[in-house]
Formats: sequence, C-alpha cells, structure tokens
Amino acid sequence: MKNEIIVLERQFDAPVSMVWKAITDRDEMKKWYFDLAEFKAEVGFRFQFSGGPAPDRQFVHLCEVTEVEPEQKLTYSWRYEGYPGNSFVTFELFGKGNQTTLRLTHKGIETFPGENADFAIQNFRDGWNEIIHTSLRNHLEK
Amino acid sequence: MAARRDVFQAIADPTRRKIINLVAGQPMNLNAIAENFEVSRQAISLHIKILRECGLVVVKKQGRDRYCEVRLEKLGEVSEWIEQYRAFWNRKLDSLELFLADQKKHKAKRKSKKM
Repeated sequence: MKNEIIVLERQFDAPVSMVWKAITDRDEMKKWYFDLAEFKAEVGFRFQFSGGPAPDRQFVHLCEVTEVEPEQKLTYSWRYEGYPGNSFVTFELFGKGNQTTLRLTHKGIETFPGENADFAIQNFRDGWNEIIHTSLRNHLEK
Repeated sequence: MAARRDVFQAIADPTRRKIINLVAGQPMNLNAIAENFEVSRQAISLHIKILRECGLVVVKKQGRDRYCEVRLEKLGEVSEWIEQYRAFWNRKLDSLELFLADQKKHKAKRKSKKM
C-alpha cells in the first residue's frame, strides 16, 4: 500500500536558489501557490491559508514547518481546521548547474477523510484547477 | 464522537496495515497472524475487529479455526482520494514551472536593460 504516499518529481530550468526562493518567499509563493499572510522557512513557524474546491467550499489549512535545510529540503505539516488527521508535505531540491529537480512528497493523506460528508472525495474533484491554474495564468499573461 | 469505521481509519494504523499485507496473499488463521507481532493476541484481535468493522477483512470459521480473509475492494476509495492530491500537486508544479519561466524572462530583460 505504498501508493498512500504521493511522490512527484519535476525538473525545472532554473538554478536551485531560484526554486528555493519560489517555495519560501511569501511574495513569490503568492504567484503560483497560495496567498499567505507570512512565511518563514524556520522550524516551528506556523501558517494558515484558505483553499478548497469552490469559493463556498473553503477549508482552512493549518501548517507548521518541521524541517528546513536551506536550498535542499523543506517540510511542513498540513491539516484542516475542524477535521481530524494530519499530513506532511516535503519539498526536496537537487540542483545541477542551471537545472533543479524538485521532489515533492505528501504523506498521511489517508488520515483525513472520514464520515464527514463535507470531506467526501467528490467534493475535492477538479476544484483546485480553477483557483490555481486560471488565476496564475491570468497573472502571468497580464 | 462515534468511532470512525471507514477504510481510512482501517489503514491509519501501522499494525493494521501489516495485518492487511499479511492476509493479502492468502487467508490466515488468527493465531498465525498474531505470531507475526510482538504485541498481545488480544491487541491483534482488536485490530482485526476494527478491520472487520471497516469492511477490509472478513473472519470465517473452519472447524475450530477462524480464518481472516482480506477484502481489498474498499482500498479503491483510498487510491481515488490520493489521486486527487496527486492531480492537485501536479497542477501546483505546473504553476511553479510557469512562474519560474516567467521569472527567468524578467531577469533576462533586466540584464539586457543594464547593458
């Protein structure tokens, strides 16, 4: 049952310093990830943001940074306010000249959903796309 | 709060995951299952009870023995749930890729202006 863990790898045409900045700088994160009030790549730093499949179906995400190795590794917990369960998201960077491989690992997702209908699988389908993809594209094409 | 009895609860515990893996290949006698663990037989019985309530195993009597058989259909719900996160992160990484490409363009522009 290894498939409970998500592992994705992606190679970017950018040096590791640039990718690290994109995943840890609040202003840069805002442009492709989530709009956070503040972000610090420091163990123990807590942040939260709203996200969900539709404007009327938003979940407060609660996160806490648990691991930081500058330009190499960043881990934070990821759970939902008012719901049981907890998970961990890790970004690992492997730089090679002007290329960087990012490995994203998300563990513990299976601890979330339960008897609560709001958390039913169907509610999550597709919704993210709208918010992230479209809004980011609009931003970049301005 | 009522105890959660769904597939997610079933696999949240490492001992229960190990039990599922053990019986995934073939039905096993409850005693034989318990022999694979350090914890007490009672503890294993409780895990199997939870797995039954979650619909992941059935226990069948054969003479004096009780055999535990796996029911893997329910695990489909988990992979469906996980798949959505996979899609979510893939889209995020697409966004990151676009963002980085855009940043590079801006940098190149700034450089050429300086020159």
